[in-house]
Amino acid sequence: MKTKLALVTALVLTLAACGTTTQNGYTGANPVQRTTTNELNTIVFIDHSLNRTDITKTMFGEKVSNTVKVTLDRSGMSNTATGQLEVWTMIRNRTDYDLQIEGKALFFDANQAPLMDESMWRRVFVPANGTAIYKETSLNNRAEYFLVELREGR
Amino acid sequence: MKYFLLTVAASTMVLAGCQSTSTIDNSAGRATVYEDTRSPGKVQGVGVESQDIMAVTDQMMRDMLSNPQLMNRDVSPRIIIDSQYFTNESSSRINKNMLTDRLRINLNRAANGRLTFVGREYADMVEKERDLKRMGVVDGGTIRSTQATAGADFRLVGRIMSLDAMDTQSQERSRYHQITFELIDLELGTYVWSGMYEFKKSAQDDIMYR
Repeated sequence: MKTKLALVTALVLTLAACGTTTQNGYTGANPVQRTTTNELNTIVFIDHSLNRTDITKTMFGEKVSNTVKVTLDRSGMSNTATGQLEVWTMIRNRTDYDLQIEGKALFFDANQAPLMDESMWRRVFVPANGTAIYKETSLNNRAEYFLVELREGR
Repeated sequence: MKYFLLTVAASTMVLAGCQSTSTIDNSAGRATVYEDTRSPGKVQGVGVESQDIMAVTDQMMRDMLSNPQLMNRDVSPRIIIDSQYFTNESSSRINKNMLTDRLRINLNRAANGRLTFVGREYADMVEKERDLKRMGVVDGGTIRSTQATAGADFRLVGRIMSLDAMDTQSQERSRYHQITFELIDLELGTYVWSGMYEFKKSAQDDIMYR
């Protein structure tokens, strides 16, 4: 009986330990996005409730679960007639509720050095199951790289 | 021995009593609260707030900088941006200069010489100094002398307008703001650039803007 109990306790403890998400030192539920490096020319969600991936270690391996409220259907960059860098993305609301998304862009020069060109938060209203466009232009023609951050409107 | 002990005890108590009369309040004070001016703060209502001012001027600035009619000229155009012809017709209390000054300053910094800004607001000051120079009261300075001060090609005009609605049952109110910015050609009188910023807020409004 004692041996049985000890075995059950050990199993429970092992499973409990396995169930904890661990990513680069973070314990508990932490999205992958929290620890990944933001590359330039990318659009990232800094509000992890909008779009995130959780990896949970289980005894059967890693369990990946995606939480998706908002996705980016298309994105692109181009230059305006005056030579500024223009970045745009098509935001898709996958919920049955209207959402407000705020975006801000940071621009970098050819050497990936910051141009101190950081836009203010631009609010975009995305209707339930609908689409909206976020677009931002740099201040001058020296911008060659960008980083766009999206969060839920405040 | 007993008397000695009693004396020590009494003097200790007296001294302890003296020490308790200290009036220094060593408790922590309220920390100064700085807030992000780009996002709504703790106190917010339906009026124009810091995040609106920053967002509207930033969007207008980027829009003007990407306008070929303004930016692709061989000679940088001279522009007047002040609040002289920028009116507040809204029910929001706001210092218009916060919008026009921020727009001009950020535009001037970002344009980096591609646009020239004329300080018509300070024309009086410039004229007085020019008079002093011409009369020989002061010398000519170190830069240059010109026949006249700069004439402008374009001038900013615009309006802040609002539409209010209130639910008399719940006292909840909403305010829609429409802020227009336009550049007028000061020879032809035509609009060379137009921009608009709109937002609507609703709240149980008990905020007072000053």
